[in-house]
Amino acid sequence: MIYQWFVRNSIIIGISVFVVLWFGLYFIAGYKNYKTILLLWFVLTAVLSILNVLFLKKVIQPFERLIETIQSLHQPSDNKPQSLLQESLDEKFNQSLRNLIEKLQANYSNIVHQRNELEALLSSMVEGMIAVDNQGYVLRINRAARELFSIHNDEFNGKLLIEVVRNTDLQNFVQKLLTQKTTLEDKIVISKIQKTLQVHGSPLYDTQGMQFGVVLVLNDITRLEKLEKIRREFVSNVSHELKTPITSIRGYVETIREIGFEDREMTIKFLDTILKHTERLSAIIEDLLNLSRIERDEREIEKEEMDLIPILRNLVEELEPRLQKYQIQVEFKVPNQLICLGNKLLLRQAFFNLLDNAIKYAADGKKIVIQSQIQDQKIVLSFQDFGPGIDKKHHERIFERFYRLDVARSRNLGGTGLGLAIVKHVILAHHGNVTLESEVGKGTTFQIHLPIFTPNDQLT
Amino acid sequence: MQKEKIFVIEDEEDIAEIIRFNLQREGFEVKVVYSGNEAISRIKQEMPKLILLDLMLPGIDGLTLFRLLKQDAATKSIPVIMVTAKGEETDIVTGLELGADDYIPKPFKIRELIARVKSVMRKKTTITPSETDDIQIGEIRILPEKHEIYVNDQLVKLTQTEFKILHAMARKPGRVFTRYQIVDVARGSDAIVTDRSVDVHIVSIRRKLGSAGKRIETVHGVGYKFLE
Ligand SMILES: Nc1ncnc2c1ncn2[C@@H]1O[C@H](COP(=O)(O)OP(=O)(O)OP(=O)(O)O)[C@@H](O)[C@H]1O
Ligand SMILES: [Mg+2]
Repeated sequence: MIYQWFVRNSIIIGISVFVVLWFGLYFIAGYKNYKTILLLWFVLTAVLSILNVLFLKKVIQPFERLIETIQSLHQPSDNKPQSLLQESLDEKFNQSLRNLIEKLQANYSNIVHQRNELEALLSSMVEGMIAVDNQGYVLRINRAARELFSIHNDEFNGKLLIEVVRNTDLQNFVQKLLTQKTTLEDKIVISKIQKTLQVHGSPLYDTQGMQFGVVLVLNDITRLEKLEKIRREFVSNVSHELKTPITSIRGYVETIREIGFEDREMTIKFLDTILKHTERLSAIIEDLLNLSRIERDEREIEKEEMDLIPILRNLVEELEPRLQKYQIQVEFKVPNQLICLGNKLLLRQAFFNLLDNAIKYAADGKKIVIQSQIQDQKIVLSFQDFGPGIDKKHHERIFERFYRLDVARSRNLGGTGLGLAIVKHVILAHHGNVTLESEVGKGTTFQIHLPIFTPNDQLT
Repeated sequence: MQKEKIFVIEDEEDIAEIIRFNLQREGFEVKVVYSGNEAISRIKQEMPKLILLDLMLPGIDGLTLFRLLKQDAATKSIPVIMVTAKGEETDIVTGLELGADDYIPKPFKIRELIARVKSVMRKKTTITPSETDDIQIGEIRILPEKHEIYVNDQLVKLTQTEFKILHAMARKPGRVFTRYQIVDVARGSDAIVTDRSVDVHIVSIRRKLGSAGKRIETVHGVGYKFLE
């Protein structure tokens, strides 16, 4: 302030100083020595002017610069503030001012940096994050949470969470969290997109330890839940499938123990039943083990360059007694050679399961056609029967473990319901897929699609 | 003497066969039905004394069939024992709450099966004591009029809720009570019982009964029963 006043009034001050000097000298030296006075006046004036200039430069200018510097701090910039303050001020003062400014600058860029980092962190989080204040107003919602609840950018600023996210589960949860002031966990469902979220909420405290809001972290556990459900169903299916033969075995063994062996014929009949069920038990276990082995090694099963045709002909030859019994003709519509990259044992097992089904479920004087084509760089190998067919409603589930159209019939034929599941996984392990075409009353065609083999393919 | 007729509804032929064999040896007349669809009309025609019902059936499943039987005035009172290989207890609980008389999990002991069949048959002929009848089972005596329970002639102090639960279960010994059924029994007493707090009440009753507490048996995943 003072220096500004000085600058503004420098002319008046200067003139006043000269006038005062003039009269001062006049009174001291008297009128007669006016020459000396004039000389003195000139000398003093010159000295004062020089002092004045120096004064302005040395004292006032640094303040001006200081102000400039401080003002420049309001905007983020890369100016080096230390260059602005120079030697003129007391070196100590100058140094501490410089430190202060440096510190401020550093803090400022730190804050900016941290804010950006936090922003990046929050938006790259897979988990949704929502923070609200004690009144339920939104403080922050990260990208993942915005996507989960389909909130469009910035719609949430300064609004109540209830206005932004319309989900009763979530609202109840936040309400509970705000009143209980503890950490809470729950599951909430977004019915619109059929998702299940695991939500974890905890209070937010400031540095004084006062709660100023709550933060929610949301985990999408839809897939986990689904897997868990499949696993549960599988376990329940397996235990059911195992309990059935065990019930028989136990019942017959206990009965034989009870009544003794007097009736030899009946005892043998009972023993045969027991044998049948132990065989079934081991078949189920064998199939389950096979399945889990294939599934586990899906990526690294051993494959070699091989011809599918001899395997098929061989299998049919082996099945000849059963084919003859049911008077089934097998018709081959295949080339002499069909080379692919595969695992002989597994593919053989898959083909066997398909032929076995065709014989079991579509028998009685009909025929089976085995045909191959090349389509879109794939080998398409089809097994066609002319049996009862499979209704459309089963198509989606038929490859599931233990899925059978007629449980009793399949069981009596010795089936475990794992045959097609094995086919599916064997073919998947060969980077192929299985499809099904069927019309009730006309027959069924299972098609196996396998990648074609080109000799420069890497052997795995 | 006219043989008592039992229906076995079971899709697994070998299991049905061995059940038939054993029950016939015990002097019952046994009819096997392999599917739910076929069962209804045949039950109505032949009116068996007891039904052994597998819950996993092709066609109409066991539980649906059971509901149909309970809705029909003609078949409503035929006792039903559920037989099941299911790992999950929910179906059993539902069945019991719908009024099934008992259940047997697979794989069962043949002797156990026979014992259950006989027990249910017998229970049908013995009348359940009325609300006010005194009950004496082993060392336990219940006097509903006075609201008193004695174990070996020693008075045992039970809360109103505990008394209600014990009395209801002792009136139908051998019968499995699901948690929900126990909640129902205790309704209107001094404490509010929920299916979660049932266990706490049972623990307390057992403790107060001392050695006689063994009579209340836990049926895993389903509920409790009072042993005869
Ligand atoms: N060619 C077919 N025609 C009609 N139905 C079929 C045919 N193939 C399979 N099915 C039906 O699909 C069900 C599942 O077949 P899958 O091969 O998986 O089991 P399964 O034959 O019962 O037992 P497994 O093959 O393990 O001995 C069968 O129970 C049958 O109902
Ligand atoms: Mg099969």
